[in-house]
This record gives sequence, structure tokens and C-alpha cells, in this order.
Amino acid sequence: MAQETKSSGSTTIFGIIIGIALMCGGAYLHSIHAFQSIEGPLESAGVPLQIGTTISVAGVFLILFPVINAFFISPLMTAINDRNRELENTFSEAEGLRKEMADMKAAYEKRIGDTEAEAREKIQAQLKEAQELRTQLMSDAAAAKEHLISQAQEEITREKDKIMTELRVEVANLALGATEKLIGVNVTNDTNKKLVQEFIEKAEVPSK
Amino acid sequence: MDNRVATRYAQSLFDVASQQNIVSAISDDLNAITTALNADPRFKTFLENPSMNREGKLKLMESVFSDRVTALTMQLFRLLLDKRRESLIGLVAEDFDRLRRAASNILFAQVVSAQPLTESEQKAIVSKLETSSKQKVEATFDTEESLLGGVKVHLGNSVMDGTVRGSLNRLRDKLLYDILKQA
Repeated sequence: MAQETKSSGSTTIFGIIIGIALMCGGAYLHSIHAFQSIEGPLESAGVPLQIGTTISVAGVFLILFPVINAFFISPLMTAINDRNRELENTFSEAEGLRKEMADMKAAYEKRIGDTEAEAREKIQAQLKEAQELRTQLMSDAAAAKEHLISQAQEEITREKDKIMTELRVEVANLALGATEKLIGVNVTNDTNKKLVQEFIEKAEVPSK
Repeated sequence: MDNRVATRYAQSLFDVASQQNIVSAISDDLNAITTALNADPRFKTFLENPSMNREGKLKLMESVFSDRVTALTMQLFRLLLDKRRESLIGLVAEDFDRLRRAASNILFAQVVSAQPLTESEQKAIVSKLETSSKQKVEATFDTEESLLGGVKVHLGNSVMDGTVRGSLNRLRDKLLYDILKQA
């Protein structure tokens, strides 16, 4: 960098020297009309070119160039460079962000994929569980149904037996009632005496 | 409560009657009195009425029974009237008879028949019971038409049922037993 500055300084000085030489040389050449043979035809052709003055102006330019360079070109170059760097940085940041976004997108997609897989697994597990629960519930319901049917059948059988028993008892009572009435009508004095006689013959006092 | 009091009166009466050897006479007296009381409800109501004068009751009892019953029986009347226990006379008579029978080893039989028994039938039943139990038997005879026919005897804790009603009941029990056994 220091070497570059030193080189730049020597170039500037060399330029100034050249500029002075050109300015002086040009002014001298103009004063002696050294280029009259060229300038005359050009002027008559409509091109008013003064070569000596032009050389002097070029020399002045070379002398003023460091100043122009110092006050205009260098800041402009710096600004352009800064701008370029800024743009580069922006592009770099943008690239980084893009990459980061791509990474994030990839991670997000992976996460979505994982989530979807996990959700699928969970759904499958829930479906399986629901299926098992359904099977269990169906089995329980079937068992309960069987139990209820069995209970109902037992109850029906019990009720049937009970009604049959009641019916038989009722029939027996009716038969006995009818028998009693028949006997009541048919027991005569003689029959009663016979029964008393029979009792007297057969009666035995139970042993203590 | 009344039973326990009656038993105590009966026991005392029986003890005294036994000492005087008039148990049988006292028993006859008590039976005659209870028969009279049961035969005439007005007489029983009068005797058991607490608002009636005690002297009046005693006079009536003496006028009716004094020449028919023993002095000991009349003494019992007086005592019961004094203690206002005249309503116990029936229970005392029953307990006295029970004590008399127990002392003499006599069995008591209640004979119930569908139709009134003739005297010979009654004797035959008592004789059969005495033969069968090898003990003397005293019996009362009642009729109950619902028995339909035949005789039933309550002897001590035993019942001998020779009635149509009993047969029907046994048949009913057998049928019910068979029906319930099938069920």
C-alpha cells in the first residue's frame, strides 16, 4: 500500500513536470507559429485548431490532474468502491439469507415431512386403537347381549315354572274343593258312622 | 298374667282338696259352675261386671250354689270375689282339672266329630284310647260340621285325625308337595 502511494506520488510529480514542459513548450510553439502550415488549411476548412495552445492546455491539464484526482476522481472512486463493496456485501448477505432460507426451507420441509410421518403414525396408532376398542366394545356388547338373553331366558323359564306351579296348585285346589263339595253332599249318617267305627278300630295313640 | 294367677288359685285349691280328699267333688262343683256360666251369658256378665256390688254377687252365688257345692268351693268363691278375681273362675276350673288329672295319671282327650256321637260311640272311643295309651282317659265331645265326616282326637300333644277334612288336607298337602317338588 505504502509502495503504491510512493509510486503514485512519483507518477504525479512526473506528470506535473511533463505538464509544465508541455505548457511551456506549447506556449512557445504558439508564439513562434510553428504549426502555421497545418493550422492555416484547417482554419480555412472550418476547423480553427491551434496546436500550440492545445499542447499548453494539455500541459495545464497534466499539472492540474493531481488536484482533480485528489478532489474529484479519488473520492468518486472511493464512493464507487464503497458502493461496489456495499453491493457485494448486500449480494453476499442476500446470498447468505437465500442460503439460510433454503436451509430453513429444507429444515421446514423436513420438519413437515417428519410431522406428517409422525401424524400418520399417530393416526395409524389411533386407528388401530379405535379398531381394537371397537372390537372390544363389540365383544363386550355381544357378551352383554348373551348375558341379557340368558338372564331373560332364565327369568322366562322361572316365571313359566312359577305360573305352571301356581296353575297346578290352583287346579289341585279346585279339584279338592270340588271333591270336598261332592263328599259333603254324599256323606250320610251311615257313612259317618262307618268312618267313626273305622277310627275306633284303627286309632292308635302315638308312643311318646 | 291371668293364667298364672289362676294356676296359683287352682294349685292352692287342689292342695286343700287333696288334704280333705274331696278333689273329685270340687272338680264336679267347678264343672257345674262353669257349665252354668257358659249356659247363661247374662249370669256370666253379671258376675264379671265390676260395677256390681260384691255382697250382691256373693248373695246370688250362695243362693244358687250353697246347697249344691261344697263349703270349700264356696270359700273359693268368696276369696275370688274379695280379690275381685271372679272372672278367673273358668281358668281356675280348667287348671284344677289339669292338676287333678295329672295327680291321678289321667289323660285328657278332646274329641271332635262332624256329627254328634252316640253314647256307645263315645264310650268306645274312650275305651280305645285307654287301651291304646294304657291310661285312664277323660274326654270332652264337640261337633264341627266342617270336618265333613269322621272323628278327630286331641290327646295331650298328639292329634289323631280320622275325619274326611283331615284326609282332604293330607291329600292337598301331598299334591302340593308333589307339585312343588316338580317345580
